[in-house]
Amino acid sequence: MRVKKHILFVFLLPCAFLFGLIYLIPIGVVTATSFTSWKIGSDIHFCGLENYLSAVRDPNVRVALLHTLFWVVLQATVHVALGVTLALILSRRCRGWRAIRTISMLPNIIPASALAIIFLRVFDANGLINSLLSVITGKPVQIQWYFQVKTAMIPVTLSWLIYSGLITILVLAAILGVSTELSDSAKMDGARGLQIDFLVILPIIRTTIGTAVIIASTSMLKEFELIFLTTNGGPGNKTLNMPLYLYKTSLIENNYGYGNAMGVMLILLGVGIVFGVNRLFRMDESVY
Amino acid sequence: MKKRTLAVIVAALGSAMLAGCGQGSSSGESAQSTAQGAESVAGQAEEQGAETKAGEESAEVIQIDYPTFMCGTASVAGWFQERCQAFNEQYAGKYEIVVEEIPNTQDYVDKMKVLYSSDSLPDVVNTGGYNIIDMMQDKLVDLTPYVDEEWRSTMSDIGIAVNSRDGKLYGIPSTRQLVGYFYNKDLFAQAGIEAPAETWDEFFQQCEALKQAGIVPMSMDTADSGWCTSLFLGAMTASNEAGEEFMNTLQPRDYHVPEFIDAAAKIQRLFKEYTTPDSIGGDYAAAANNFQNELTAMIANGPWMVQNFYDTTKCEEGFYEKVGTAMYPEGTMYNAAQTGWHVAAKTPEKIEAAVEMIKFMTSEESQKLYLEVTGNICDRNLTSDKVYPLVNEVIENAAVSTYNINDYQSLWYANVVDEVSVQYPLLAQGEMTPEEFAAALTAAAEKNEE
Repeated sequence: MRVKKHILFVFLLPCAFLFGLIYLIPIGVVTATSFTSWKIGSDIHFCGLENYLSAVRDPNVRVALLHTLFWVVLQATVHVALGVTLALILSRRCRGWRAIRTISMLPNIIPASALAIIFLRVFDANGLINSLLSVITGKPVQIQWYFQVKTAMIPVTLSWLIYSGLITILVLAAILGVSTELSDSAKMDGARGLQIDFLVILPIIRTTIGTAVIIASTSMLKEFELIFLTTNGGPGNKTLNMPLYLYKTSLIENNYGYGNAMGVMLILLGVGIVFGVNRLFRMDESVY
Repeated sequence: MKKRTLAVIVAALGSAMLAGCGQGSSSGESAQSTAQGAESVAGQAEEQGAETKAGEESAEVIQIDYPTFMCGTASVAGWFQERCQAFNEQYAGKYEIVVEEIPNTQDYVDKMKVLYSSDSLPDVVNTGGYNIIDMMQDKLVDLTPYVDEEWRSTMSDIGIAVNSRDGKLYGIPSTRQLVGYFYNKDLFAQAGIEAPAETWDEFFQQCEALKQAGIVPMSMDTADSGWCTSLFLGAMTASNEAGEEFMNTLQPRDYHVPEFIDAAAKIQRLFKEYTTPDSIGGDYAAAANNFQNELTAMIANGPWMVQNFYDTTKCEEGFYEKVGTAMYPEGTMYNAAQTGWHVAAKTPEKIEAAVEMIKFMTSEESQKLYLEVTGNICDRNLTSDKVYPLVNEVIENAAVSTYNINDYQSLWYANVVDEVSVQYPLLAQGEMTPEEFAAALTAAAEKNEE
């Protein structure tokens, strides 16, 4: 049975309607109001590019943007690399691989609020890390990891960087979907172990890795809870990122126009990342 | 024929999905309303029963929407639950309070800001003292015509003043803020200290004596607004008349004030020498825990904390006997009226119902119960035999204090309060000077300029 293509669009209607209602209209409103002066208790009026110019002058925006980009790059590289490495190891189906696969996902299913509390305790002055360091050094160690200028980025970054269970699951599924004939052929040609992984498997699952990079890096454009609940962007602005600054600007300073300008900047950053990764991984080209 | 059948199925499917969405939304509202109604009768009725009741009485019962922070672990949760139930029973068939629980006053205020922006404030608002009058005045009901002389006579003059703008009454006062600090008499005795300090120099001498005796003097915090720490910061600032005036200024824009910078230096010293390592980054709960477990000798907080001293799940039995109350050195106390109950209802019927609810919540019976259950001080001049003795001590301290200041959380811009919290760790670790601390707060305050 051949179905006319225009009939298929009918199926898209509910989804398109909801997408428009929940995403497109709010994005339009956010974009439009980013060109206005809009604070609580005062009238809204057009102010042109003033909010964007203020953002350029605002040292907190510069710091928040820098931190956000730093975490985006780390997620796109280190986080994905960890996930892919674990997937390659698990794809050997060594003893207990299913259990490890499940365990690697656990941090992803723990609520961010609980994870934040756990991390605060682990990196507390009297926490696990300092206890370990005390045992190793033989001297009492009471570093406030989250609240010292030189160390604050470490626990904040660790609270998401090393938990790449989602990437592992995605990549592992793709690896297990690769025909064994390809690796068998490579073996017959003399390829071994890592050569098969790097020269056969990884190129074949290129688009999956690209998807993983997009998921991992864009997650940093919306990371909020784990910073808000631990350092609140401090000490000073040492762990401030764009979503948290947007929140503070909108809901604490009640400057909605300026907050929405930051929202537009985040959206553009996200679109840029998706576009760049798509080009880098040639996502629209066949793998064969 | 098959194509037509397919098209019909597709159209029907699409319509069903859209209709489903609409219906879902409607029933969602209904479910929410039902759930809130059930909550308001405080578990008296099963959800289904409440639904039936709401259906039968919807024509006559006026529902009063009241989101509240008085829930969960808040010290006023028990009081409000009892009063809400009593109101709904007394006004059964006429009015009904529909409660939405929003734990944490800051989250509550944030939500009110969002609702204000979308012109959908609830019928009744009570922020627990956070000033929203200047921000939301245009949406709050002027209660002057609803308050007769008899009712007005029950309110304190200062309470009326704090809740009024341009002669119009935008809130009914219900509480006062009396805050000094608590100290552990046993630990003081171990360090050879006989009485709380009367000057800040003496205070630091006592801190040193405690430290020499192996006792950590202070419970401090930096998380959230750094509540306990900021109470001391404000009290240190208000050590003379100029400082007192600064601490009573609504939304100050400039923190380059000698008294404030000097106070920041004192706080820096306390962080460096006289508190626990977990104070940097720690929250109020950790600070309170340290004091209640006798790990520290002093904590700044209000009389609502007293009930914890009697709670054997939080303290050792008889701990309350070891606790003393004090005003801050130089005779300073937080002693201020607070903004109270506001009405933002839009229709005359709803306004009338909301006023009735507030009248009930601020009645002598409710206020007395408030004092007894929570240990918070009422706006009405009430006393009770059932009040903890320590609460009465705090009231007595306030009666003789030299400098009386208002709570910084009520007066300062919200973003300045947030800035205090993120800058404290830098100040505590010597990464910034007291002058830089004042500059950071000034910069935050300036963001609020029109």
